[in-house]
Amino acid sequence: MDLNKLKQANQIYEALADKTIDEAISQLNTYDNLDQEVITLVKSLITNSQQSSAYFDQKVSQHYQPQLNKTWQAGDQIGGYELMELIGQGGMSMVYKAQRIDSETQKPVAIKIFNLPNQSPELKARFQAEQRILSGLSHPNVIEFHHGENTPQGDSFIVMELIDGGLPIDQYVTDQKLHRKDIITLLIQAADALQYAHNQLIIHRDVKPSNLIITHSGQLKVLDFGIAKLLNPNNLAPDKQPAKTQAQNTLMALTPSFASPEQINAQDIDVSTDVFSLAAVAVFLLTGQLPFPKNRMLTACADDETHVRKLLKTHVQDQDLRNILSQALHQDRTLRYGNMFAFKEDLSAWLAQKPVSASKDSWWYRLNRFAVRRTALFTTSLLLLTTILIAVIALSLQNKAIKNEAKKAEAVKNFMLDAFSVTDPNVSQGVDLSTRDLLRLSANKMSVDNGMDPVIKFDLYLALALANGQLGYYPEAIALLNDALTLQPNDEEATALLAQYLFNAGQIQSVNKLLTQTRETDFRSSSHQSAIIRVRANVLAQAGQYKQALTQFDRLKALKTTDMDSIKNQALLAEIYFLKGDSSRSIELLEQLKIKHPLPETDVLNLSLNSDLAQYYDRVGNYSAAMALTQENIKAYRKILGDDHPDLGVAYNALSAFQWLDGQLDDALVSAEISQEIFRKRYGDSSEGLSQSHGNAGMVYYYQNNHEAAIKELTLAADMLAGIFGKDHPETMNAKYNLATILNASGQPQKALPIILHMYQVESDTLGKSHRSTLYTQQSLALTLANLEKFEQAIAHGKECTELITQNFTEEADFINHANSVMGKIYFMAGNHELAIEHYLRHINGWTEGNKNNHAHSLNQLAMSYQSIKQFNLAAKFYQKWTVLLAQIYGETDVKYLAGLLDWAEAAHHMNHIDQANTLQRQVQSILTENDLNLPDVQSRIKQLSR
Amino acid sequence: MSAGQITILLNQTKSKSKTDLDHIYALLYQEIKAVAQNQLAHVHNNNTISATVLAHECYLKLLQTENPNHQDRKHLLNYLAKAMRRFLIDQIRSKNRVKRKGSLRYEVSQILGADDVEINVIEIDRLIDILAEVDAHLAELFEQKVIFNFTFKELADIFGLSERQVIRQWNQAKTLILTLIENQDGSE
Repeated sequence: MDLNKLKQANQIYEALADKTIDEAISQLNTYDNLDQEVITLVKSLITNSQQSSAYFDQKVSQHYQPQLNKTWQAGDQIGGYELMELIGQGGMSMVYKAQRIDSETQKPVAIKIFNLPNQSPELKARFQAEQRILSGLSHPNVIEFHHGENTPQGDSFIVMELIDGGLPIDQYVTDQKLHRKDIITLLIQAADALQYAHNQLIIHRDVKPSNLIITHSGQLKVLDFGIAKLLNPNNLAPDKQPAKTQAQNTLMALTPSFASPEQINAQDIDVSTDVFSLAAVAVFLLTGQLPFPKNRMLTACADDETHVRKLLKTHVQDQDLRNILSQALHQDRTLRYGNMFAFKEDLSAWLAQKPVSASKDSWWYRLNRFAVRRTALFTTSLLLLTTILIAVIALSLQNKAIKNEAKKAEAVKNFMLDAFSVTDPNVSQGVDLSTRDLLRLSANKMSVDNGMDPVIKFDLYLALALANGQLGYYPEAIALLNDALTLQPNDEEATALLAQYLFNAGQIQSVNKLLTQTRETDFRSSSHQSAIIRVRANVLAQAGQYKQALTQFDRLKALKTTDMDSIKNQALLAEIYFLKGDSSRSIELLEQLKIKHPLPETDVLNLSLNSDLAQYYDRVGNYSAAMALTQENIKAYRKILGDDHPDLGVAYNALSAFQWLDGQLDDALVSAEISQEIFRKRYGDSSEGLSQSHGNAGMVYYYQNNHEAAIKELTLAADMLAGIFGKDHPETMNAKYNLATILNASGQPQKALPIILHMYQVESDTLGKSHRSTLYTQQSLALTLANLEKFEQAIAHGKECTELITQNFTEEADFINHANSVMGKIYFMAGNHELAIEHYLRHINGWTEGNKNNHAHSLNQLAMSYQSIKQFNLAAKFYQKWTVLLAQIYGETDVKYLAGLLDWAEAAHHMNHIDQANTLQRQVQSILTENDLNLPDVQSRIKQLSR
Repeated sequence: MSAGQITILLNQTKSKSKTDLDHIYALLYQEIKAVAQNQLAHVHNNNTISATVLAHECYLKLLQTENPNHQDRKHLLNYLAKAMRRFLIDQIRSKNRVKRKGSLRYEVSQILGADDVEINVIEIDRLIDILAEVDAHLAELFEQKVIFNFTFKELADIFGLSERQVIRQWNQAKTLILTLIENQDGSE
């Protein structure tokens, strides 16, 4: 180093010595033409001038004085313990493993002996402070402190829990080769501990890997609250200094690799300091490198942010995780997480959100569970199961058991209110988010209450978990159950609940792990046993292993169960059959069940059964029944959950779908709008439910022939889903498929083809060619090809598809029948009217129930086909049938009906049925006049035709 | 050594030649050694004596024998501090040499403590020299506080300053030393 520069720097520094740091640095910045090195040196001087004498002692003075008055060794005795071996050494202390002398049975402990030079009252005070701090903390993730003493010679030591064979977290992570999720899970334990300490008004201030020890069993313990400071200076008797001076008296870590900028710059500290340091540790563990540049003390942390951002970008692929950590590592405290709770929340949410990897099983699981998710236009509403399924059940895979008596939740809420005297801001009739916040608050408070008997604490955790689970807040419930299980491992009830909630939340990997470890045959309660078995069966069924699922189910029969359990068992069986493809049996089961065990309308279980039943009805094509049940559910939801509950949105989505299927287009739009409002309110601009309602709206617009609006809505839906799930996710693909269908229909088949082709390939690969989904897609593919005039390919696909359907779905007449209409369309487009007619006739004759629009469409096409092959009488016959149906669906004053009549009129002209044509025109005119309708387009068309 | 001998030497040689200085240091060195031996004789096997204590003892002894006035006291301390530093460094260095017969019977560890401390003593010694180039007075102040462990009041007395001034200067010296430490190897 250039001494002249240092001299210069020293002079400048002396001139600034009287100012505060801020003033000094601003003044410094006003000097022009200063050598960069000089400036750095001045900053360094300024920083160092803030160091306390204790720090200096450590670095300099102590070297002229002996470190220890006495060197402690193995074999020495202290305070009734015998030292066994040195296990750690710090700047001010040494840690030994020790054994109580007069007892063989007591477990060995850890003893931390301080070597305090006699001349350092500050360090002595610190030691006393540490004692006081530690004795007040009791948390599973904080090291357990026994007591602290002084020897007669004046040595201070503390006795604490020994973590035998524990490893610092960085070593543990390397040894175990842990992945991201596991690392974050561990750090959440640390966050818990620190949050707890914060609640006791203690900031740790020295969070770093060597202070985070992982025990044999994988539990994390936070150590060394040695430089922690109490926020409330009154708690620290001899040190009655305000926070700022306290900060100045910080003993700085020798390598401040994880310290926050405010620590390095000796400014005020608050709880976000610990957040910062914990996030820094996270970066270290995730990237294998220190988060900040080496010279951060000199630059007053100026380059910290850029450095760590770069590091994250290269080593951490996950955008969400990067964002969370970046926020926690902001230089500016006001931009960080305000507290450990918020940080922990985001980390937990990140953990929970990450879906089980898109393995074949999970894809299959979703696709099969909600089998067909098409809102395709070329298909019957069977396929519209999509919307229905999604609407009523799919979304609620997350929230399957949500529909629960508000009463029960209210009871828990009241209990919590009583227990913790928190005022309820919103006493509404519905169960709303404030309850959720309340539940969270309660859970948080509880972890602080260390005076609570662990048995009681366990019960409370369980109750809270149940409450959360019933409201559908599965991540919270799961976290609570894990906490409970730490208190009482292997508890039956907690395990059973955990299994269910993990399943409901879609965390299949975790469920399987839990199930492997669980031996429900050892359970005492048969209810809990059945719960576990049901989850097993469910998981197997979802994975397509029906035989095994049914085997599991048989185990249930052997158990004595409550009514509740019987109902649940039957529901499970119905589900298994449904997944197998035997929906009629499912319906039978559930209908019988409802008779045998009638439940009150608003009972959770009842709502759940209704949902399931609606799904099964829809699958077999009994739409009116499905719709009726859905409407019943909607009523019940309103009663229980109030008007704003998101599940109401879910139900409205279902209703909307039914409505437009049924031709009630305007109502369908209204329902879609209602659900949109609910979802926007709850979840903002992007959510699955919202995308669903846009999808529904899109369909309606299509049927109203407003292609532009339809495409807009469906594009919005698809984009939203791509944002939520990813672009290749089944959900997104579904939405794209719908979009493709509309593109097709609005004359842009070239845009639609690549989408549909992609889907078909993916589905053939993952699901197989005979899977329902694949077949639907194949139909769409065929139609698209036909649209593009690639008739040979279209027909080939169409034929193959029809055959596969006929072979594999013999019981499903409507499905087979629909294939006919598809073939008809293809042939029609190819100009092969004979074959078109043949297929259309089959379709119409086989039509029982379903998409009336489609039926009408077929009639129309039939008429046109006959016209093409000049069988005018038959054509006329079918034009008539067509228009009659239109009137039925839309009503006589509806523009679609009138347009239909005019289409016929036009056709009649071509067919030389002039009288017929005139009659029709007059008919339309009179309808217009009689009903005083203002339809200029129709009017002008009549005029045109009259010429 | 006769009373006042060193002080006379200090006073005589205003513009000191190297030989004169060496002579002074040699005398002081002897003093230090004598006091050290004396102290160590009273010390247990496991115990150590601190360099500071040693230095202080020397100083006290010199005060008595030399009986310097105020001005001379300052000089005396100055030289003693430097002699002390040299003494300590020598102890450290000799530890690594082959043991010579009849030379130091005591090990440095008995004076200073653990091994790694020795390295730091050498380091700090060097730093004091560098500091002296930046600001001679601060270096002197620093040296005396660190080695003799004088209180601020005592230092104020020695240097003829107010206690406040001494504290301020001490902080400045500390700051510079820390900056020097940082800028050498960039770490720690």
